[in-house]
Amino acid sequence: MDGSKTLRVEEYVITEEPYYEPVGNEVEVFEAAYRNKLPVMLKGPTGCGKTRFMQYMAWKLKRPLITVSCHDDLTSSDLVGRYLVKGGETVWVDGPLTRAVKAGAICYLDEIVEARKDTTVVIHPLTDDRRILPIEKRGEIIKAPDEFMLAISYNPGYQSVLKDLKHSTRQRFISIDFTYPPKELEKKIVMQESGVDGDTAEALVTLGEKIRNLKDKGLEEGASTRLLIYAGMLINSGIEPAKAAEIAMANPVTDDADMLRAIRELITTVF
Amino acid sequence: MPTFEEVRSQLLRILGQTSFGEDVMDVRFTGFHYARGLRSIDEAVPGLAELQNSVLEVIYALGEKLAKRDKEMAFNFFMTAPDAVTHFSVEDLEKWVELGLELADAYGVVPARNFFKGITRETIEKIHSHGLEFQDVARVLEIYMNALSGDKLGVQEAHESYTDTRTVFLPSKVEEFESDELNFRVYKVMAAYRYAQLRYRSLEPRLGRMEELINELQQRYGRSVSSEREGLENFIHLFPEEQLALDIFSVVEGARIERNLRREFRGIARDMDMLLEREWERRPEPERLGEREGVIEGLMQLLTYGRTKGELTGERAEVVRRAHELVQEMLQKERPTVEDSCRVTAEIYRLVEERLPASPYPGFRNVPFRGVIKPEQVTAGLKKTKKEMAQKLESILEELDIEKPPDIDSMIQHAFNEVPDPLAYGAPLDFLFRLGLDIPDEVQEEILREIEKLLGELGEIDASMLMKVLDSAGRKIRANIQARVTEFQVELTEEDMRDAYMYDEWDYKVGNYRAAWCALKERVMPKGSDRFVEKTLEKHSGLVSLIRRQFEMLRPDYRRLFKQMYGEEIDLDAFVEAFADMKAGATPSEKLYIKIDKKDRDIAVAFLVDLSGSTTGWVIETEKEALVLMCEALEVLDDKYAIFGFSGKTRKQCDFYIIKRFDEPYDDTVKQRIAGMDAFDYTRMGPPIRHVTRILEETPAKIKLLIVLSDGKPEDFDEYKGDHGIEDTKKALIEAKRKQIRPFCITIDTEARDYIQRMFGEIGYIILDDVAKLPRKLPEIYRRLTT
Ligand SMILES: Nc1ncnc2c1ncn2[C@@H]1O[C@H](COP(=O)(O)OP(=O)(O)O)[C@@H](O)[C@H]1O
Ligand SMILES: [Mg+2]
Repeated sequence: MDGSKTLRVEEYVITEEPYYEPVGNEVEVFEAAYRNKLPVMLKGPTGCGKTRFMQYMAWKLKRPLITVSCHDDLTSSDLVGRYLVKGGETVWVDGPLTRAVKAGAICYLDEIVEARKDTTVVIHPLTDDRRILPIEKRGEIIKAPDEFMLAISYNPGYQSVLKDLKHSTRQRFISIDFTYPPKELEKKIVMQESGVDGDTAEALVTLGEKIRNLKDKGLEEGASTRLLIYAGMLINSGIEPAKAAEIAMANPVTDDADMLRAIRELITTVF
Repeated sequence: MPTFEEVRSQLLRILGQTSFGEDVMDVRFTGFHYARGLRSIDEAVPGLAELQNSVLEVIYALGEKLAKRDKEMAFNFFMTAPDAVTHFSVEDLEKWVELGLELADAYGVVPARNFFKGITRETIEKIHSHGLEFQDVARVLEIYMNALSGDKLGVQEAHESYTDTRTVFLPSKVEEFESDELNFRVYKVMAAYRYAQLRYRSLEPRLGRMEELINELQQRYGRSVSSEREGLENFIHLFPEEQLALDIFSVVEGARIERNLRREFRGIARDMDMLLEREWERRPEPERLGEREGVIEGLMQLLTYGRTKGELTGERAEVVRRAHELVQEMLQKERPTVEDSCRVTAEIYRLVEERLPASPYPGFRNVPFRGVIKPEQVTAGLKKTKKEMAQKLESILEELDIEKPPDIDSMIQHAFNEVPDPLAYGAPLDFLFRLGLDIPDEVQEEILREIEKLLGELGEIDASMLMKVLDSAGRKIRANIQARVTEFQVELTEEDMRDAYMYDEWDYKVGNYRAAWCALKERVMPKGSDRFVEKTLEKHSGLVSLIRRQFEMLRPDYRRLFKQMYGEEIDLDAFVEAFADMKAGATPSEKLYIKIDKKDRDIAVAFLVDLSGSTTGWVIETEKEALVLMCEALEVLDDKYAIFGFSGKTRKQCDFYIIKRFDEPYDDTVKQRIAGMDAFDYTRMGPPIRHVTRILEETPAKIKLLIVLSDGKPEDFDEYKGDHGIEDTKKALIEAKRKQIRPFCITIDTEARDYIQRMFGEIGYIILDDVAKLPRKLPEIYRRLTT
């Protein structure tokens, strides 16, 4: 814990414009939410641009971005902060959430369902009009400045009953829906991000589209934009297209042998 | 037995050189055995010299064949041949060589050389198999087809390959190649070809788009169109020699869609080339065929290969040249359509008729993967789709309470046939307007939006797409409309309430519960055949062992829980934190231990199965099979589970069937009760959900799961329909959720989406579009839900 270097919040400021292609009016909606100090939930399958969008918005709104990837061992101390002992002294170290609040940053809790329920509760007071963060151990309450914003991401694809976003948490956020970008746009993104040529990008997007056709027909989630980009990157570094697509787009989406076989056949259809 | 020298001189004759080497690539990829550098043909001789002369003759002949392709491949063959004869008959030897040559054709000589370096078990299996059976790859093909088309096309086996626009038919067996992998490619190209026929609207020419031509043909041949037939069949029927017209059409239209298909999918283009190259050997010389047949064959060859086999002479040559020109002209167009193909077909037909009069036409066999076109099947398929469309429209109208035209079926047929081009670029809604329906604005807008989307994507739409549009528009609208609940209620009698559990029912209109409204009675499911479970296990034996293995992996591991009040070990992290807190003057936590937890999976699951009348037959039987597999899987774990069923008629009679209680073992009694499960009456979902909730409440477990299996929306004989039923069911599920029970719904219903989203959206659900998937899916869902 204490071995890791603690970045100062200013270091989270994004100075260069991240590449982001708006798909709908999500940019405007997010800005409106920001102006009205409303917390936002980004809803959508993994790999469709949520994280990238956050980076873009942070840049656009000129706020630092602090991202926390949630996992099931994440405790509220991990978010809020804790006392550490250093050479007989105790020092309080702010957690990422506290730092974000103090600095008026945007705090993005990625994949919030992965966090334990008792952890999720600490964000509640920040999400209503009080906008406060109680730090129990220090007996303090921090009021969030106007610039502070909280965003979470959530993938509604059906999941384990052991993990689900509590209603009381969910209803505190306005939600923006994310899906895979439309064909032309996705092609552009794949070209831009992986550096492949137009034909290859088009083939990858076509393949993605065909694989997504299988959603609800046996696949839980189709191949994400991220996976298309990965395949593109592999191709760009000299791996044979069909092999690259298999590694990046078939194997990650299913274990069902017939399904895998069919997807491989799709790959050799497209390439 | 031959002498060393005899064998050696034969090898030298065939191979033309004495030594063969491995290049560096080979050394790297094939390991050490053959990678020692140069090898001499002398090494091959001793093994061969042991063989009978008769066998050797065969081997020489085969080696010669291979040497023509690649000398090193032949050398490897000679090296391995003595070993091969111990595994294979003479016939199999030929197959073995054939396999290697196929490999060389498909992947190049390097893998083929390696192939002959030894005999693997895989090779032996391949040689002993005879062709690829449709049944072995049916599921893969279906998935493949669904992915390609984005639609739910069925895949079925038949004598020939064709499609009726609803189902893709493929041959029961492909034995074109020795290797099944290549045989599969034949299936794949066939499937892709059928997809192209549908995607590029090959089978749905619109007479309205070629009125002039149709009139002309009608006059010339004195035959007419009929509403009994769809576009393609009508078109072909206009010609006196239908078979000739159809064959011309399939060659011309084939050229059009193949070009599109090649552009869309590079891989398919490659596979088609491979098959076509092989096919070339088998094509007849057009000059040797009958006149008309020769012309069609010649045209096909020219379009496919850019050349003909042998020279064409006289009239024949002229006709083929002109026909080829016509097709080329058409292909020059920016976006040739199927109607263009029809026009060209008519011209070529006329050409043949005039230039080659009175010659008989026995028919023509196209390249196999192109399949056949069956106009009458296409008609039947389209009619069926239209019929369904009519029913959809009808039910939308019904729900909307719109005045319904008396015979919507024939109206749709009429609109499709008589209205020129109802679905063309400009005014897609024309069709609906012509039906004379007074459709509310919102529906129109909804439909328009969908149609525009499709037009944007494809430039045009066809019957099955319009159907989809109607479908989704209708569903959306329906979801928003307040269903008019018929005010029909029944009274409860003393008798009804005796021994019954009474449950409230939610009245969404009043926003309150109706107290003790439904009478639910528990019944033990009557026993059925004791062979059912056995048979199911036999039928799914592969799946059963797979599922069991998967479930074994779910067995709980020991797990360390951090920050506990009590436990076997001290949690150092927690301790340090508490220490720091203490020093800083904050209240330290008392949770300082790590507990080793072995019973992490403390799960109780209740399956609640819809036994309403609509599940009769196939659905219920499959549900039962799925339950058997589920039980087999659950027996591997310690999870507590119970199975219940429900059905009933009105609030007087909510039947709740016990199949397996939580405390009952999975024994013969339970197995027979599963076998006894049957479809009964209606689907009043609220009361049974509330009853299971009560049972689960009394069952101790950390995690409680309620899995509802249903095949449609809640519906009872009385007012329990539409919104009332949906809202009550939703309420019952929310009540369960409040009691820390996690409901999850599996619905077998392709049209369920809107209300399902309403009922279970907050809760978790999955829709299966095909009940056949249930036995595989149910355990899988359970597994995912609990990991
Ligand atoms: N609209 C978009 N504009 C630019 N890049 C995008 C867009 N959508 C997806 N991407 C690309 O896809 C990748 C995966 O997206 P990411 O934001 O990590 O997904 P998520 O957070 O939703 O799982 C990004 O790294 C980016 O390259
Ligand atoms: Mg992400």
